[in-house]
Amino acid sequence: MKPNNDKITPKHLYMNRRKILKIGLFLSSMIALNKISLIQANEIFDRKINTFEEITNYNNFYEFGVDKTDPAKYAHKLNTSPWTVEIAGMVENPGIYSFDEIYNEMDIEERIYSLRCVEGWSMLIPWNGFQLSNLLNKVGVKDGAKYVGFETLFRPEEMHMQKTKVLQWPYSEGLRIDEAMHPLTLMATGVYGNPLPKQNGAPIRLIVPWKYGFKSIKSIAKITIQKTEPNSSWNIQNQKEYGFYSNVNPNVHHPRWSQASERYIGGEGEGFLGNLFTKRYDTKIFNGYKEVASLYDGMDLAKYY
Amino acid sequence: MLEINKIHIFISNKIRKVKLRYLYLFLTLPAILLIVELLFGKLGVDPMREIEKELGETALKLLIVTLSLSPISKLTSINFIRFRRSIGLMSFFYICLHFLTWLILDMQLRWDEVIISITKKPFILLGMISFILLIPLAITSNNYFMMKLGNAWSKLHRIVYLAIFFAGIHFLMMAKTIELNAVIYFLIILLLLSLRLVKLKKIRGLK
Repeated sequence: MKPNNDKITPKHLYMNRRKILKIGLFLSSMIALNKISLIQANEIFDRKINTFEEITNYNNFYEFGVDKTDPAKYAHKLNTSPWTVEIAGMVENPGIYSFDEIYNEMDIEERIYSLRCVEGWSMLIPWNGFQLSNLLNKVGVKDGAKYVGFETLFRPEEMHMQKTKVLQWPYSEGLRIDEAMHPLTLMATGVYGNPLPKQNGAPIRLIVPWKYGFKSIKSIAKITIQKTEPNSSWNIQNQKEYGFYSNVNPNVHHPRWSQASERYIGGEGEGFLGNLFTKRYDTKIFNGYKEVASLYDGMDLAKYY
Repeated sequence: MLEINKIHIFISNKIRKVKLRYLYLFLTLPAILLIVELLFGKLGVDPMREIEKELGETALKLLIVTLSLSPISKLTSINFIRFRRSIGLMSFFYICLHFLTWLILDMQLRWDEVIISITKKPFILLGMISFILLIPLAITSNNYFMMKLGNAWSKLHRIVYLAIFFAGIHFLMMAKTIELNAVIYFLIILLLLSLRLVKLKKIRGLK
C-alpha cells in the first residue's frame, strides 16, 4: 500500500504542510476547542507530522497480528462495507445505524492529535472525524448513564488472531460518560483527508488523545451507554498494566515501559537514518491536553491509573 | 552400517578442519544483514526497535546453540565442542550491541530513566543481570584464563545456566502477550538446563 501524496494534497500544499496544518489547527482550535488548547497544540506542533506511509505501516491492531507491520499486511481481509454501528443501552433512539447514515449526518473536521502508545512511542496524526458528543447528543443519552462501552466485530475468518486467545474478543473498550462527551474525544473516519485505512480501524474508530493508544478502539461495531464500568480487553488481559483510565501520565510507572518520556516515531530527519534516530521527549501529563484535568479533580491518578 | 560410519568419519574430519576465524566471520552475518536491511529501508517505520529486538534475539539464539553443542556432540558422537567458545563469544558480542542500542538509541542516555528502568522494570532487570553475569565468562573465555583458573574455570562457567535462564524470561516478558517464538526458546532452554541437572546428579551419584 504505497500512498500517493500527490493524490492527497496538491504538491505545493503538501510541501508546506506544516505551515498549512498550523493554520488549519488554529482555525479548528478556535472553533472546536478553546483558546487554552491552542497553546497546547502549538507546543505539540514543534515536531513533524507523521507521513501517511508511517501512519499506515506502524499499527497495533492485534486482530491481525502482534507485529506493527501485520495490520498493513492482513487488514485488507476485513470487510468494512456495508458497516453498521449498533447504538444500545440508555439512549432515546437505540438502533442499528449504517456507517453512511452516521457519516452523512455528522460534520467532519480535521484534528491533529498526538497519539501516545503505552509502549513509549508517539505519532502526530491528522485525523478527520466528528466529536463523539455530537453523535451521543443526536441519539440522546438518558439520565443516569455513567459509562460508554465500545466493541469491535468478532469475525475470526477475517481477523485471524481472533482464533487465538491473546486478548478477549471482540476487542472492547470504555469511557466514563464525561470523558466520552468531552470536545476532544473524536470518532475518526479518515486520515489525511482519506477514508480511514483498514489497518487504522476502518471505517470508524475512537480517538481519545489524552489516553494511551489502546483506549482508542478501532473498527467500532457497537456502542453501549450504560451504568456500569464497561469491559476493556487489555484490562482483562493484565489489570496491573492496563488500567480502566489509562490517562497518559509520566508520574505513574508502568511495570514494563518508562512513561517519563516517549520516542517520536518518524524521527527528526529525512530518510532511513532520520527514522533510526527517533528523539526522546518528556511525556506530558494527559499527553499535553491539560484541559481534561478537571475531569479528574480530586481523584488519585496513581490509584485510578 | 559401514556407510554410516564413513559419513560419520567424513563429517568429523570436516569439522576438525573448519577454521574458527571463518566461523567468527560467518557469525557476523546477522549484523551485516541488519545494516543492509537498514540501508535499503527494509526495517520499517521504527528501525531502532527492529535492530534492538533482532540483536537480542540473535544473542539468545547463539547462547542456546552454545549450550546445545555438548548434548549434540554426545548424541552424534561428533565433537562440536571446539566451536563453543567462538559461538559463546559472538553471542556476548550481540548482547553488547543489544545493550548499547538500548542505552544509546532507545534510552538516549537519559540516565535517570535508565536507572528507573533497571530497578523498577523486572524484564529489563533480568536482561541486565543476564548481561552482567556473562561479562566474567566472556573475559575468561581464552586459553590464558582456562589454564590459570584450572578447575575453578568450569565451575565459574556454570554461571551461563543462570544467565540463559534469565535471558529466556527477559525475552518472554518483553511481549505484551505470549509470543510463540519466545515460548519455544524458553522450552529449549528448560530442556538444556534439565539435561545439565541430570548430568550433575550422575556425577554426584558416582562420587
